[in-house]
Amino acid sequence: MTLKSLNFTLLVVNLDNETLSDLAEELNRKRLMAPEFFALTPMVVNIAETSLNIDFLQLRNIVEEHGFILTGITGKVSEQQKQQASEHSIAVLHGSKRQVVNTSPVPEPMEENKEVADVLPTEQDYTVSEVKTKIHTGRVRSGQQIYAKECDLVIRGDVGAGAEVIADGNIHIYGTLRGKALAGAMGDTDAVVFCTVLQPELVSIAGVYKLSDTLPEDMWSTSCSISLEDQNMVFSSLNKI
Amino acid sequence: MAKVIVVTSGKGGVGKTTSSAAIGTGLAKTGAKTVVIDFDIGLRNLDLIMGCERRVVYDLINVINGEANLQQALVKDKRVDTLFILPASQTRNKDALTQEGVALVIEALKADGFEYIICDSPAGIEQGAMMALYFADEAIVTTNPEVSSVRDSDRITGMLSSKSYRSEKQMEPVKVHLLITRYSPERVEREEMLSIEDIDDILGIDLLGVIPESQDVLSASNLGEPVILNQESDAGKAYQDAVDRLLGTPRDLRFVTIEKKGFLSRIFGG
Repeated sequence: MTLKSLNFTLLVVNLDNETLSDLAEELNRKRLMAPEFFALTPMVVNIAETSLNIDFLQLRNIVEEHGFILTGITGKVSEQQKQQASEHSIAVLHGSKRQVVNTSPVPEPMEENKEVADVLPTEQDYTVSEVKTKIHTGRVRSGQQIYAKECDLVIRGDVGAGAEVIADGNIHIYGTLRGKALAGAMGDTDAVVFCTVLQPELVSIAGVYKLSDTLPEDMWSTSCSISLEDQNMVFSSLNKI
Repeated sequence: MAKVIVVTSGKGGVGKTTSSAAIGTGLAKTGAKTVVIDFDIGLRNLDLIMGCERRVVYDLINVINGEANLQQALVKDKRVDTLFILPASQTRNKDALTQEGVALVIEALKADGFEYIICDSPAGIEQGAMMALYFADEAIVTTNPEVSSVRDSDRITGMLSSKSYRSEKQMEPVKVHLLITRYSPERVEREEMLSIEDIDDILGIDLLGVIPESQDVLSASNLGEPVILNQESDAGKAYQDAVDRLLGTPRDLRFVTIEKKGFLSRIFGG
């Protein structure tokens, strides 16, 4: 028998007031949206303020009544709250460095030729732990999809038209991007796409995307990085730094 | 060691069957025992192009279902002694093609001393096409110089690296060759067609050959005579070059630049 440490992704619910009935309502709404998906899902409650006076027994009951399992609490937990939590055998967890917001991993480009970049709705907080970068060597061909879960993605080769590369972190492409690149797929707005030759069908960061015909024309076929500033895509040449 | 070579493309009508017939015939002419298998169940064509449709009695599906043995189904070519074809069924549907069945047929062909087993794939990426490429050691991806064909070839090349026996068993990957057919240097010049460089840029596959657009291909198909047997024709010569390269002999690319007509031929017609 050995003891070792592993990283997990957990569902976190934000608690910003003492009224637990609000939480109950929210959990119920989530459960109705996807009953199968959330059944027996471990959940962490993020306490927004140390001043909150929370009934931990009631908190656990509400969470469990809605089919989730209360794994622990995190956030701004006072000594007093820690004491109360431990009395009810509730663990106090410390989140990792990055806090990201979950969004749908693949945006559906319904309307084309839009001037402003489109934004997808965001919901639910997730904490993401730092994981090793995923490196793919070779051309990514039409119909293939490479997904780097909770980490950065490096592609050594071209990404063909009709191919998709997706990462929860940054994407680096040492080759021509002709297909789709979606960085920050879980909602990390700090994610960046780098590529040697930019000829994409679509680039997206945290759900904000641009299609090939809405890209700045002078950036086509150049080496550049694509990042997000105030929900706007920023293209900057890699040769002019 | 027997080699299984699939001729595939994704897109239809690009010349898979014509190329299978030509390359199969070219390999057999070297004296190597060669079989071309038609995987296009329900739309059998190979026997027509090879000119042996009237001698087809049993087919691939009969062999898979145990209704005939391999020797009964193989049709021997009348022109080249070492060439055989295994026709597709015209009456069954593609679900009759099972992985176990295809494995048995390929094993039996290897045991029978065949050196080259050419699998003529149907268009698309469904059961028939997947079965044709599954056991391949090498692949000849056939493409026309136009975007949709090149895109489909990219997709099928991806399939070769993820859905084949070699990829599933993590063996050395399927060796992929690119065969460009219906190439017309004049139309490339007028930018109506993708050039060899454009295609290489998108696909990045080793070039096996470039077959020029030629009337001889159609007439050869109508006659049921693989075009490689017509060594007067540019297309026939280009297929012969491709076969030579497949066997490891380097050949310069021919028929890829515009032919400048000479003074005499301009006067008398060329």
